[in-house]
Parts: sequence; C-alpha cells; structure tokens
Amino acid sequence: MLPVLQRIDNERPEWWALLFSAFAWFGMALHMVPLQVGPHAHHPAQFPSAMTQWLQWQAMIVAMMLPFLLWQIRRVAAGTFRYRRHLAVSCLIVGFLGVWAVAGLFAVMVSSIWSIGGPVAVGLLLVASAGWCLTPWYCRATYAHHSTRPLPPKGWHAVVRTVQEGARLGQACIVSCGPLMLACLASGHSVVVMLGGLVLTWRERTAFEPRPRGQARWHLVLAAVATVTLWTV
Amino acid sequence: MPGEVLPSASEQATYWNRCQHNSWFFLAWHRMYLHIFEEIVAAEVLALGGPADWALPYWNYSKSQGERRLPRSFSKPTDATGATNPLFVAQRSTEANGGMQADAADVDLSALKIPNYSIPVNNPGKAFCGAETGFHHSGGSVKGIDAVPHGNMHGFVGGQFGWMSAFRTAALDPVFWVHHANIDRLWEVWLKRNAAHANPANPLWRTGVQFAFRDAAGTAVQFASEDVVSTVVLGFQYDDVSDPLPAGLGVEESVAMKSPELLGATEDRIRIGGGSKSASVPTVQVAGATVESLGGSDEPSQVHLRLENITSNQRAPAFDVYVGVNEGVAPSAHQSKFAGRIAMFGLTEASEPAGPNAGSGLSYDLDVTEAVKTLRTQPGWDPGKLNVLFVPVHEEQEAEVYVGRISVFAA
Repeated sequence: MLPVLQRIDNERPEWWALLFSAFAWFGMALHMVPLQVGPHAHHPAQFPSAMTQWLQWQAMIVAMMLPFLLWQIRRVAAGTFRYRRHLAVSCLIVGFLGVWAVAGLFAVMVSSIWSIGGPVAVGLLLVASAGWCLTPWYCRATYAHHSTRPLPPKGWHAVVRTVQEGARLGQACIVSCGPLMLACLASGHSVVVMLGGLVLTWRERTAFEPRPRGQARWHLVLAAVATVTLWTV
Repeated sequence: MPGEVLPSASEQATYWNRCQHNSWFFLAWHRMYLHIFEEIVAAEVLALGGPADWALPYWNYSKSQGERRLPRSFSKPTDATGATNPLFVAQRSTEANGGMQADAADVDLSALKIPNYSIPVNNPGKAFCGAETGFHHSGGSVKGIDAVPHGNMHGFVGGQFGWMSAFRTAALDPVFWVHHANIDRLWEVWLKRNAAHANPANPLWRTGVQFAFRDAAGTAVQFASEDVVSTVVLGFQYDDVSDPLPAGLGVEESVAMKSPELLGATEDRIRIGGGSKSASVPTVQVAGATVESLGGSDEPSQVHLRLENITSNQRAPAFDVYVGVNEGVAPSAHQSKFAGRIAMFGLTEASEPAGPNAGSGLSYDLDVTEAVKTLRTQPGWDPGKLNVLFVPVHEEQEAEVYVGRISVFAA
C-alpha cells in the first residue's frame, strides 16, 4: 500500500465507511423512484415493490446514518490491534445496520399495507417526529449515541461483543431517528426530505445533548417544507 | 431545604446539571460559574456594608506542605466567639476537617507542563484541560488539570461520602469555590508560563456552545468560552500567576499520541475496591512496537495505560495505580512504579444508565513510560504482561467499582 494511503488507513480507519455512505447517496440519487403523489399526478400513488423499498431503506440508512457512527467507528478501531481494525469496524457496522434492517422490514410492511405516502402523510409523520422529540425516550436515546461500552481486544468474544455494540448504537439511533426515517420512506426517499433529515440529525448529534424543543421546532419546519415541496413537484 | 420551592422543570432543564467535566469546556464553564457566583456574593457583601472590591479568594494548596491542609477558616466548627462557623461543613472527609495534609499526589502540578490545551476525543495522550467534545456534563476521559489537582482535591476534601465528592452536592461546600478559584488561577499560570501555551482557536470551543446562567440581578445571561478567556474583561486579575514548578521541571512533555498502537488489553471488566486489587494485562508485539522496545532507538517513546469505563453505583474513594506491583506487596516501597492517583469524582453520575453519557463511566489515561522503563531493568520482568495494582486511598466503606477495560497503548 502507498505510504500516503497507509497513513490515511492508520489515522482514519473509518474512511471506507464514509465512502460506503457516499456511494449510497450517489445510488439513491440515481435510482430514486419518484412517487406520483402531487396534485398534478395522473395516477394514484405508485409504490415500488416491498423488496425494492427495503433495499432503498437500507441504502438510505447507509447514506444518512452511517456518517453519524464515524466517531464510534474510530473508537472501536483505536481500541483493537492494528491487524484486526477493519474486522472490528465491520462488526460494528454489521450490528448497526442489522437492527436498522429489521426495523426497515417493519417500516416497509406498514408502509405497503396502508399505502403510506404522499405530501400529507410525510408532513404528518414529521409532525409526529417533532412530538417524539419531546419524549424522554428521545432524550435517553440521544445520550446513548455518545456512550461507550468496553470491548475485548481480540478473539470471538470481541467479534460478538462488537456486533452487539453496533446493535446497541443502532437501537438508540432507531429510537431517536426512526420517525424521521419513516417520513423519508413515505416521501419516496425524496432528496429534499432526506437532506433535511440529515441536517436535523447532524444538529442533534453534534450538540452532544438533547435539545428537544429546538429539535421539535426544526422538525415542524421540515414538515412544512417537505409538504409544500412534495405537493408542488 | 425542606419546604423550599424548587424552580420549574423548564428552569431546571436550562440551568441545572450544566457543569462541564472531562472536556475542553471544563475550565471555561467553571470560570463562568465562578464569575456569576462572585457577582452574586459581592452584591450581597456590598448590601451588608462590606467592601466594594470583595473578590473570591483561592486556596493555593500546591504552594507548600502547610498549604495542603484545609484552611482553618473552613475546618473549625465554631469561630472565636463560639458561634457556628458557616464555612464549616461536617459532610467532609475526617482527614480534611481533622487538619490532615493532602498527599503530594493530590496537589501535583504536572499538568502545567502539558503544552496542548486539548486533544481529540479517544486519543490516549495528554491535554492540559480535556478532550475536544461538544457539551459534556459527565463521564468520559479525565485529563490534565481536571484530574489533578481538581478531581483529587475534590476527593481529599469530600472523602468517599462528603459533599465535595459528588457533582450534585460539591458546590454546597464553601471549599468548592476557593478550590475552583485556584483551578481557575492555574489556567492563567499555564497561559503565562510558556509563550507557546494558548487557548484553542477552534470556533467550536470559542463560540460553538453557549452556557446559560442567571446573574446577580436574576437576569438570564449566556456565555461562550470566548467571553471568559480574559480575566481583565471579567473585572479581575490574580495576584500570583508565577510559575510554581521548580527550575528544571518546566520542560514541556510530549502531547497527543500520534497513531497510538494498542499493545494489550484485558478481556473482561475488573472489580476494584475493598482493598488492593490487581489485574494482569497481556501485552503483545505489534508491528515492531512492544513494551520491551521502549526507550530504545525505535519507537515507541511513550506508553500509556488507559482505564476505560470505570463504573459504580456507589460512592468510591480515589485509587492509587501502580504498574508491575503485585497484590499483597506494600506499594509504598515501589514509588518508581506509581502510575498516578485517579479520583472517583462524578463516578456515580457517570455510571447512571439514564444519565448524560448513558452509563459509560469515567476513563483515565496514565503515562507509565517511566514506570515501564524502571520495570524493564528489574529481574523477573515479563514483557508479555503488565500487572496493574489498584490501591484505594482512605477507603471508608468497601466500594464495588468496575474497570471495564485496562489497555496499554504505545506511540
């Protein structure tokens, strides 16, 4: 490996997770399936298959949520031996994405059964997400994003417990951001809603503390913007 | 106080549990707190006919051995007339109120030698103040002056169960204010003692986080770190910011560990407390970096011991940490293997599952480079493992404390 790449690999072991996320954004932009939901739609809302929706859900999670795991990825990589850093990072990501994948199955199922989609549904889900920010569960999950648990440095114990650590962080992420992600799903993975959600999540994670009222207010702003945008597009 | 009406939930959320620890905001937030407190007390002093230039005193416990005793104005239950001394608090360690001196390890000023104010989160290296976090109330890695003398003196005064030993009660003890005034003074000392010492230029530190207070008039005010970097602007100057370190001890030490390499770590958590307890950390050779190669022409030049995720739901005493010393051996005979004293200030708060760091606990990084160099010269040295001994200091009641993981890093 070139020395410069080796240095990046040493100092930024999370690089490939970031790349993974960038690819997911690219893929989402390329293969986004716009919903025919606005007042100018010629047909009733058209939904892709459940499998496609689920794959899009996972791509959305990789795109939007993985960047917020970078701090934890760095921690896990630094806490193990150099030769197994990428294994440890993979275990963490598998655990994290694993719980999101299960949550995605439920989300897609519910979304398909009740045909949840369209500007009004997205707006209502974001209003519900704003309300969710005011609950103690949201606050507790926000704290958990920055929490750590000790991990063994090597061996099968380390593999299992690192996957569990990823799942623990994934669960916290689902609790704090699940409603927002549902709104993104209902919007047909609208770039406007996803970027808005990304900014809101970034705001939440970089604060290191829950700011429920401020966060709820911004969710309401996003609800208004998303509804108007989806209605007019 | 019984019957006292507490502020509304909204007020509590805005102003309570906001103190910053284990973070680069530690010094700035506490200066804001001292400034507001001083303003409130000064207004009261003036209203009672006192001097207009009243200011908070500081307790310079590192100045001499005699200064390591709690000042008598705080330790005597009554004054000369027999009246109750309002500065006396019974909820302190018997040692502190009894006139015992703090140990040298409690008032050590080695933190003044650290050239960098802060350090990236997760780096096991040193920082004068703390890690580059966002808002950070409790838990995390305790570094530099936040650890010693700050945390240790909280522990010395509060003991295992006193007010000074817990976040929520520390400021009820009047000693808190003179202790923190000294910590604040040491920030000025650090800045003055070397032209290279500087506060962070990072906007996240300077203006990125605003902290809310109420001033002497009860008006809501907000400060960012940038607002308190100058004591002159705040209206005061310390009378003594001279360098307290003896000549020859002012050499700047190495700072952030570049590419820290894990050499070994324990698999499971270790229980400490209830007497001396030891743990063995298996160390390995990785990419040429071994504990054995320390001090040679090759790297590593630093070895750090990281004690992660220290948790307990009980109040605990401080612990003296030694490397290469076994359980049952008198550690006092092994001062060259002393790694440091770790205070348990804020331990229970940092261990609360529903708390601000979701029960992650405290972490400490101790520089054991010199101790390991000493170990290597001794018969029976085994580079394949590093024994770590935890000795409780003035343990009043057996505490059940867990160290989630002990790691050895080299760089």
